[in-house]
Amino acid sequence: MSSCYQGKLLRVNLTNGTISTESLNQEYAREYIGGRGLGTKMYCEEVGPNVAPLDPANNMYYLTGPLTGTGSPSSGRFMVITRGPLTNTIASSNSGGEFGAEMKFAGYDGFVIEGKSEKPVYLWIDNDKVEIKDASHIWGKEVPDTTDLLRTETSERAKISCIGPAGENLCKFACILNEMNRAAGRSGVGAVMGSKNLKAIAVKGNKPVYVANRDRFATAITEATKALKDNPVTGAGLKAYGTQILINILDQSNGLPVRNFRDSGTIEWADKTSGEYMIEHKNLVRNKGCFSCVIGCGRVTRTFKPYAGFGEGPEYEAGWGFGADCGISDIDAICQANFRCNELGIDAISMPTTIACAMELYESGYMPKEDAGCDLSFGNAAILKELVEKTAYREGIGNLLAEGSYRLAEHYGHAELSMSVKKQEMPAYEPRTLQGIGLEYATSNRGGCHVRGYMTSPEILGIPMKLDPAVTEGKAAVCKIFQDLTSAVDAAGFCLFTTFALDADIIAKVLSAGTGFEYTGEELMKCGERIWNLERVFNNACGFTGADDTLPPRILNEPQKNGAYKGSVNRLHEMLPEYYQLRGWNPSGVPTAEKMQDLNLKQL
Amino acid sequence: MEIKYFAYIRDYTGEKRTSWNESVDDLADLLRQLSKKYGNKFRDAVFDEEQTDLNSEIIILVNGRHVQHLNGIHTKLAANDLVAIFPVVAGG
Repeated sequence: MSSCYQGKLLRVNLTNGTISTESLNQEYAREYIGGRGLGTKMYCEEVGPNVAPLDPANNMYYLTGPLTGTGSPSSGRFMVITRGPLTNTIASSNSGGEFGAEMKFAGYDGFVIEGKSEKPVYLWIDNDKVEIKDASHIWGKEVPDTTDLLRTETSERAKISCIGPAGENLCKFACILNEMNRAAGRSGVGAVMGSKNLKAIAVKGNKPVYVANRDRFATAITEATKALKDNPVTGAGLKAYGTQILINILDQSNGLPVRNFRDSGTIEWADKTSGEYMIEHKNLVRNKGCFSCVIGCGRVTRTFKPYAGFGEGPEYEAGWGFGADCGISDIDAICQANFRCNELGIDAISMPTTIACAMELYESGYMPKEDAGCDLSFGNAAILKELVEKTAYREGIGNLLAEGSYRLAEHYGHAELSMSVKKQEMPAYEPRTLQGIGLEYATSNRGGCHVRGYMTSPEILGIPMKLDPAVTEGKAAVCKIFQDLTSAVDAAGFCLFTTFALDADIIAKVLSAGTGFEYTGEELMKCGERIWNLERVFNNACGFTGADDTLPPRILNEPQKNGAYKGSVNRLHEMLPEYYQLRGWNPSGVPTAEKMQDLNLKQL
Repeated sequence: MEIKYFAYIRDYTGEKRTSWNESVDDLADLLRQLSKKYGNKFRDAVFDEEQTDLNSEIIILVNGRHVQHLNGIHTKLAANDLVAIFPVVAGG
């Protein structure tokens, strides 16, 4: 039967140089869909919990979703699944661009990367022809140069996924970039790639991607496309302003963390760093979309002296990180630092939040001035670019920054100043204002993360319902639903932004017509729940417990000093027990035998 | 009273913020007064078709709180309040 799966995986062992292909396990595909789900299932079976992140035995799984490379709207995504060095949890990082679709055109649902090469190499995948090629001449090069050189060496049509110097130097939050500016960003997947001496993957293909039922698929994607275009967010707002549109609404809602979450959730100059201001200040050159995208939220941007540059972004979280979180109001400096993250291969969320932590350590007198090597005060825009570069090359203070905020703060005896969960930095939403996002951060399977549920949507943006951010009642149930839905969406290959307009029923229709597996919205949610629980089972097997489902002491104990939520802390204790209960987990956060059976899961 | 406008609402108002010193009872009253100043595009953006409730595609905050969690379009306003008006936006 035709389906939008290619039915084939490519396996490359870098230790012994073997290359092979294998059939996709259809049963797993049905239960775990693809992408994040299928990759996690394969990771758990083939690697398990006893392999350290930078050990050669830690495999990487580049997995597309079944909808990737089809005509389904805004569904060109792929994921990199491995165990991450920043958190030691399962790490699955999602990226857009065109690389995922090209994997499908080359005839593969995914690539499995095993072992470690003795010397730097890259993979060149041209349909069925697969080669492991020497990368000594590109090792050390930044992402744009690497991309250009490999396209010259392979094909102008090739799509390139690569690491920069940060990944080579095992920065714990190094990322992997494709098409220069789209990132599998979080949890240090780039360091895992660097540890394998794998600089890049170049891929090109010209094979068709079929669907199971063409007429049903056409009807379903027409419905989905119309819903996306008619929606004010996906049809207008994101295209016009990008994700940086959120700066002002989070600021006005008192939900914008300021100076390492030290100050309350609003700052008087927020508008100077906003999506609106980027248009007014002429930073925005044009918008840009990923493969098959009808939203087009990407920003092609430029900056002006003394921070002149050209590139893409920032996304809201990076803009907030280099901006309000570091106390910096200069949009050119913020954008330039984001450009350097992309060029050097660094996660543009963990980088600024780690700098913000360093700034507080410095201002508090915990970090000696001779260690800092520069004036690390909040608000010093002139040092951002240099700090990003030092981190990528592990020079000076950069060697500690490259370990992430938790290990940095721990080094100076003040781990409590790391605004992280499971050692991954929390993004741009103040959990003392948004109670539900605190629960989301605390329970995310890859540490502090906003795209494992996105409670900001109901708590601030009113999508799909308006929940009062200040209350805890009912948040556990909504958080669980959002976590399960985003798991399924990630697995399918859809962009998460589609969920501003599409519900589980529409997504299930598209997926059913494309794969030939019949899903209802409810069954799709169950797949998402299965994926979420498998990630949890893996983390538990690695030694994580309910005690790790927590937030920094500042968020739980230090009341906000002023604003609409003056006096508030995050009341995680009011939400977490109910969340465990709704999940079918025991009070220690372990899935019960009944829940495991219900989801067809086994202990690792 | 201070009123701030964001995203494409600024296209309708032609300004980012305004100080409003007229007597205002509640949010509905303020929006009617502002509609007179800014015209139909602004009015249509903030009110529903019947002009009796808020447009579902608008977000209004009073002193940092979404009016949905206060008293909606009937939220009472005082002279020193800060009102922020956004279209529905999202990102992440």
